[in-house]
Amino acid sequence: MLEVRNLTKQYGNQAAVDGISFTVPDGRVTGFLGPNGAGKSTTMRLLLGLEKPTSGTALIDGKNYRSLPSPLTSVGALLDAKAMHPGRSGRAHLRSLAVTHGLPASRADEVIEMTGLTNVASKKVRGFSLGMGQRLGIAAALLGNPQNVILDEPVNGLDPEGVIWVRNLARHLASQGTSVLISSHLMSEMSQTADDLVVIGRGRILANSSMQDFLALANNDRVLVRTDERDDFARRLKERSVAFDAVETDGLLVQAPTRDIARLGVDAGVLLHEIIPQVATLEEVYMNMTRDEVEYQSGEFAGQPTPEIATGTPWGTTADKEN
Amino acid sequence: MTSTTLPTAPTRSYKLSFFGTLRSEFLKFRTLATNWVMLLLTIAIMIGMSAAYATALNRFYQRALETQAALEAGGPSPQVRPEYSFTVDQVLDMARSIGGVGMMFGSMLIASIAVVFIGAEYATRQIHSTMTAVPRRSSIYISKLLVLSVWSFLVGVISAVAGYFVAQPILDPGISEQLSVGTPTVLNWLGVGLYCLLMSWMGLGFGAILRNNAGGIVMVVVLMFISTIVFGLLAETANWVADFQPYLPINLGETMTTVGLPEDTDINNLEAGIWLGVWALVPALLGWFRFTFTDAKG
Amino acid sequence: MTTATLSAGTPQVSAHFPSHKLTFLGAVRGEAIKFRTLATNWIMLAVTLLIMVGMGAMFAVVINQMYESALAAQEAVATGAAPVAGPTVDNVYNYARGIGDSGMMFGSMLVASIAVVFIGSEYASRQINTTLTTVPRRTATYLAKLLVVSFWTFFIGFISAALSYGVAQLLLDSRITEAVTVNGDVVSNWVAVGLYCMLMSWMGLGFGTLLRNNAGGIVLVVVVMFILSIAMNMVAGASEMIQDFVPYLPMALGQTFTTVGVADDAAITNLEAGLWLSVWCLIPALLGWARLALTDSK
Repeated sequence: MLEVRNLTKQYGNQAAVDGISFTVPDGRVTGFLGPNGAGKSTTMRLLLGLEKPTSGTALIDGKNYRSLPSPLTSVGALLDAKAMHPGRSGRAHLRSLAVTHGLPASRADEVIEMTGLTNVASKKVRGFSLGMGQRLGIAAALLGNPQNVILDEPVNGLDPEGVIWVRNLARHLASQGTSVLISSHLMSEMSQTADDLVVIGRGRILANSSMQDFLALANNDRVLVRTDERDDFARRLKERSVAFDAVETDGLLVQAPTRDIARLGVDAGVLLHEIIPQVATLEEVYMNMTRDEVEYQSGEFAGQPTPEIATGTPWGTTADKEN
Repeated sequence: MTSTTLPTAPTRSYKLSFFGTLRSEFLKFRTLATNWVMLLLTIAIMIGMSAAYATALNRFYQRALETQAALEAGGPSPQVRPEYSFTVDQVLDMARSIGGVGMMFGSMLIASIAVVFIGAEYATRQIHSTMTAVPRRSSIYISKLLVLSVWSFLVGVISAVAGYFVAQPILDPGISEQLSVGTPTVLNWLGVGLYCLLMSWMGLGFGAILRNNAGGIVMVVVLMFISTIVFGLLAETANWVADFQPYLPINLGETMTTVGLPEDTDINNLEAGIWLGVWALVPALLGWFRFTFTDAKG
Repeated sequence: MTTATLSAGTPQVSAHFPSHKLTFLGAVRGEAIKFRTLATNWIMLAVTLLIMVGMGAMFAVVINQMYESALAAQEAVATGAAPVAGPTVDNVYNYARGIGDSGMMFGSMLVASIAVVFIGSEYASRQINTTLTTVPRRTATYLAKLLVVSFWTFFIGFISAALSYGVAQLLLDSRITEAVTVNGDVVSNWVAVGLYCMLMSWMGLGFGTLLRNNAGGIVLVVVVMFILSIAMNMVAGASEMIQDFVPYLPMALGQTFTTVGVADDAAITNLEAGLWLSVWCLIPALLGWARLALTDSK
């Protein structure tokens, strides 16, 4: 179990992490979300004792990381890809970590096999691709078969197969009673992996809840309706003071229960050939929540209008449907 | 994430030019805080050495006066260790070149900066961005060389001038009253600048050959300091070693910046500068070869 | 890349390791693996060995020539001529006994670089994050590195000295080799060379940890070893205090430390030189420890 209490880390005048508290319970996958520069990596570094907190505590199973008798079997961590010497082979890297805790050399080979690096393990890390470096980092995190796992952007640079593998790994570890903390800014990925979510922006906690509760925050009662007689139907909606927006040439986004819309169509004699309830995705909820909290806002390309974030529109959700 | 549109097509009138490359390398150089820290350190060390050496010169001057007086009185000259015994004229010449006494140390820092200017690009893989932006290897290399040359020359000259003037109030009035900023002193300042410039070539060359900060700096140290020590140890055995010694880079640097060399000396200031140029040009050229003709993988 | 385990839905995770604890011995073993699995370290050690043995061979030739002149001087004195300055036959024998240290200055610079890079490149590659996550006790990590690097540098120094001695036997004048045998003095010289290399590695590791940078660490070692010596010698004329201090500079101490035939009543004996040198090297080592133990690893 990982516990963060009133954790603050200041660099000069700026607080990278500002009084955050959350726990990562055993047997659950906790997603750690936030825009770039929100303080995710700093929090993880504080958990691992790589930096000293300005105030507050970050505990691993109730202990300070630096005072753990067996860090490698308590916490497995992937901080950033290729945090390893480029001139050493992957196998040598893992063995150098294993012997510190007296783990057998065969354990290094086991995690190499688990991460699919068997063919390249004796090559120098220098020649590894980002994805291979990421796998080696995950291998190192699994080396001690730890009680807690901390993964910072684990799917970064992985091929689709690797992404699925990481997802399965996280679920599997949680099912074995391990506590798993995964940071990411890939929302769609997180929605399929995490049980709980901690959302952070500018060093502060924006949300800390289960995935379902989080999604419930979203505006879920919009329905996409398509009809050949849009103007007619729109007039009917207006008569009944139902809120709606026009979408494309033949669509309407209506703020009403599906059943009521269908009933209205029948009553009006208008053929509705699509009635689709719009389920908000994690991405949308997250975007709405963090829009003002991002440290680095993307610039607009010159001369182009900024597209609205299309909450609930079909083209706004396609990315998630593909997953 | 918030923008889905593509950037507008770049205007066609922008072209890669050598001048642009030069400006970019200059920008890269001056935006690294390390370079400014090292600049201050170099100047501080060189001024400090000038000040420290001024006190030594004062001692030499007193002894030279004592010796002179003793000889005029017909008595025996006072016993002074030979390496610390100079005539008044020699002391004055040393005082004219006092701006350059810290040159050896300052130049070591400058050479390190030059090594790091290219070595760090390999370490951080910045080199890939550099070469993608400017695919012409020679342009990059020459730009780097020019930026370093101008900078190190200026640092050398500024340090030497500052060292000279800081030393004046410390020097015995008997010395400083006889000094004026004349051609020999100005030449000494320029010599120091040139020496620093050539050291930066050596640094950039070794950095480009080895593509590694540590390796490049060790090579410079070997060539500058260790080879001098080794030849010093061996000099008493073979004549050719003793003959070659004055042509080692450190000794050439000292000769180049010395004020008051006799007319009939073996190596005069200009010759020393030329030989030193050869020492610096060889690594610079080898570095250029490696940079231009082999792949950037490293 | 595509393997059965990857595609398989659940990765196999073997039993927990409750009985495995982080130990200091484990940390040392981890660092030992890290040291010997880097090709650069082997290359540098091999280069150190080659250079030191090569210098020993060169010095053997020098000693032969010294021997000739010493003999000539001895005969001249025997026939009533005035004694000339220069090494006596006994001096030359002592030089031959101490031939193992001929390439020490050279070798120790390389050895110090190895030590700087052993920690500096961990910061450059961010391996340090992995290292400190695995062994979060900073003092244990640092001591483990120090032990590993001490072992290797002592080993290479000792072996190089012994090999230099062996190779020199083939080149030395047979009259010298007959007079000189491997005795306590000779073995002490080898051990002293090993210790000197070891102490240099402390300085290197210390400065590397202090600056977290290969280039910076090496430059600092060069400053303390070479530049300080040259600068102090330059200004030594200024005061007796500096002249008294010069023998206590690390390079001079190193030479005294390994010299065979230092008189028992010398100003600095071998042992004293070794102790003072340890102080010079312990200070950077302690500074490095403080930086690692007391500050964040960012």
